[in-house]
Amino acid sequence: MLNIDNLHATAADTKILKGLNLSIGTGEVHAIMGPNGSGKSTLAHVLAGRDGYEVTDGSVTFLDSELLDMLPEERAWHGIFLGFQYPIEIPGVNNTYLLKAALNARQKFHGEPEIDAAQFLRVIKDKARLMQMEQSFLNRSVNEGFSGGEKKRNEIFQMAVLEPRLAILDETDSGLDIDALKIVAAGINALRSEDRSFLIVTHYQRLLDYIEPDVVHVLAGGQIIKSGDKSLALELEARGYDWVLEETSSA
Amino acid sequence: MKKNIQDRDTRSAAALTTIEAVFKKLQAEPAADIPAWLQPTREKAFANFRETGFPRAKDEDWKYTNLTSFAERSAAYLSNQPLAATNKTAGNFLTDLPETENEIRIVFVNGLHRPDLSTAIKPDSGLKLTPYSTADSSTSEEILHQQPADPNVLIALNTAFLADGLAVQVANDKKVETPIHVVFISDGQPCATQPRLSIDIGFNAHAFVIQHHISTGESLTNAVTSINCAEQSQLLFVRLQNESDESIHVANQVVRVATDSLFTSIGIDFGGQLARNDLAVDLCGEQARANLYGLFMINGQRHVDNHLQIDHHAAHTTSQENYRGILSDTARGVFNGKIIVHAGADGTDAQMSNRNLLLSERAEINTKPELEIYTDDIKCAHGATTGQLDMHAMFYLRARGIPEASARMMLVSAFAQEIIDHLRSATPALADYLNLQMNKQLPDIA
Repeated sequence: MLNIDNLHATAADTKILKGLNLSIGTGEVHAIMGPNGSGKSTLAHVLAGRDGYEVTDGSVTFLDSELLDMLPEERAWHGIFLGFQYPIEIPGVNNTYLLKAALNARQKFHGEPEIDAAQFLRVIKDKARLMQMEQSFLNRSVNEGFSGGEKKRNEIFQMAVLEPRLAILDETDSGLDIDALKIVAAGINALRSEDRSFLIVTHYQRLLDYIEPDVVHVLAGGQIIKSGDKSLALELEARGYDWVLEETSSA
Repeated sequence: MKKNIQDRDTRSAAALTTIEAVFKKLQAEPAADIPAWLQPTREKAFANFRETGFPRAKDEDWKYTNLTSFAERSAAYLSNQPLAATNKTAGNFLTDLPETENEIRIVFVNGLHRPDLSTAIKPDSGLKLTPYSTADSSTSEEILHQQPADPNVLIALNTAFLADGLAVQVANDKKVETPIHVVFISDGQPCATQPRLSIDIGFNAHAFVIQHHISTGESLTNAVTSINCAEQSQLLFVRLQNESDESIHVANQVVRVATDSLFTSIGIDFGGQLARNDLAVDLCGEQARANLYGLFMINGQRHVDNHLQIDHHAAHTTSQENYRGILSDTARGVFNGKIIVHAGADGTDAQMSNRNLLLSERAEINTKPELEIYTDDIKCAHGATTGQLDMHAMFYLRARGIPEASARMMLVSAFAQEIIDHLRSATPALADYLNLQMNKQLPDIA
């Protein structure tokens, strides 16, 4: 589904990604772990098309299209979803209105008719229930006055409504207490399916207690330096990152 | 630069001379459709206008707003047509009005009341609506009595050429739930429209009045509103200026708020090539409150200037101002908020906020808070911000699949909602109407 080949990216003239290779198959859940400053969030933002990063080399194909040529909204229409580490508050933009506009823009792009209003309302109510969000949240401004946990739940709620092909979740677990973490993880698990892939960027292993990844990668110095199965995450939790870094530098 | 300033003053003075000739001719041959009781007032006002003259280029209150075009268009239109034009062409405008249920709608075209376009004015215990053109002698006395004592030059000009207006009188203890929607239309004829509205809210009375301006072409409007809120009364006053992009629109509101009364004003400027609005509120009695909200949105080379002055005369008076501006292209905005806390107005609480959204690098806003404080025991805060669209919010919306242009419009509209929301609680239909009007313009602005 996603193929990243030799990706180099800079931000404000600082090289951050330095030849990153990663391949995610359809239906797979990949976790990316790594020390602070290793480039995890940069990777997520470059894939979603945020301004402020320059790709200096390499390519990314997503479902046979060149991802890096697309505008952020075009990536969303092709099925990319970015769950933000710091979801932004947008006073005056209604949560439900945003989702409806987003879905209709995607429908239009694919030459499909606008979504049925009644059907849409049913869907958002169901998904809100899944994320244990009160219905009143739907009619509030995007993330305005939400607690940290509510913002993250809202991210997963939006993902559930938009039903992306590839969800990139940037430190969705950070700042969550254990109850909120369980709700968020349950929401993600409910969306796992054989035609949907996940790229979960995380600093800690604990989210992976609830979401079992197929592949775990270690990102350090702008490259993937080690990949393994879920046991790698447990080992990183127990031993830290230093041993991986040493292993790589001696190799 | 100096030559420009001299030019401006010379041109304004020439316009004044022309207007004087028109006025003298009218005096010599009084027109039949001007109420006779207005005549002495008109003459006095003209003398005031003549003496004061149009603002000079160096006048601090007019530092950023050049009234020369207003003066010249006034002179040209008055010479051409000294009286308000009365032909019957304004029906088309009415199809575009908000569908508020059960409103009382009073329509004026080019300054003259049009019963044929208005809700029939029924005698109502406690609510009296009187077009000046139909005022009897006791009502005309009341109207004259209520007018501001010390008019500025624009009020004087309005009075000098006044032909008609509306008096809204709400009796003591009367609660008028129905919105009173006063529509002033300028229909595109070269006519110097002088709309006039006087609102008198009695003791413990409530009312909701909408002053709505629409026009087409190069219209010219000089509106004056005088408002009296007696003790324990409440008035929600909405001023909605949605005139054409070629119009010149100036407006004055002079407001007196008595003890324990609440005056809420929402001023919206979506139209106008040049718009200037002066809102002066006197908080005269203890615990009098004023909440003033404003919003303008302009593009091209358009210019909107909001001048507010709040005088806290009495103890424990409260004022709150929240004005927002949206500007694109080379549009220019002015916000001048003056708060005067007089000696003895202890316990005054005055809050002022002005926020502006600049959508282009060449748009410009001049914002200036002015505080004059003559007592110690007060709470005063003011803040002004000017910024661009939040790029983080833009990316968030686009990452969800909102196209860039739509995302911009969404954020601009969101910026306006804080003001429009104040209307929503009183009248959702009018709030929806404003959003509709705004959405029509957004593609050109965002």
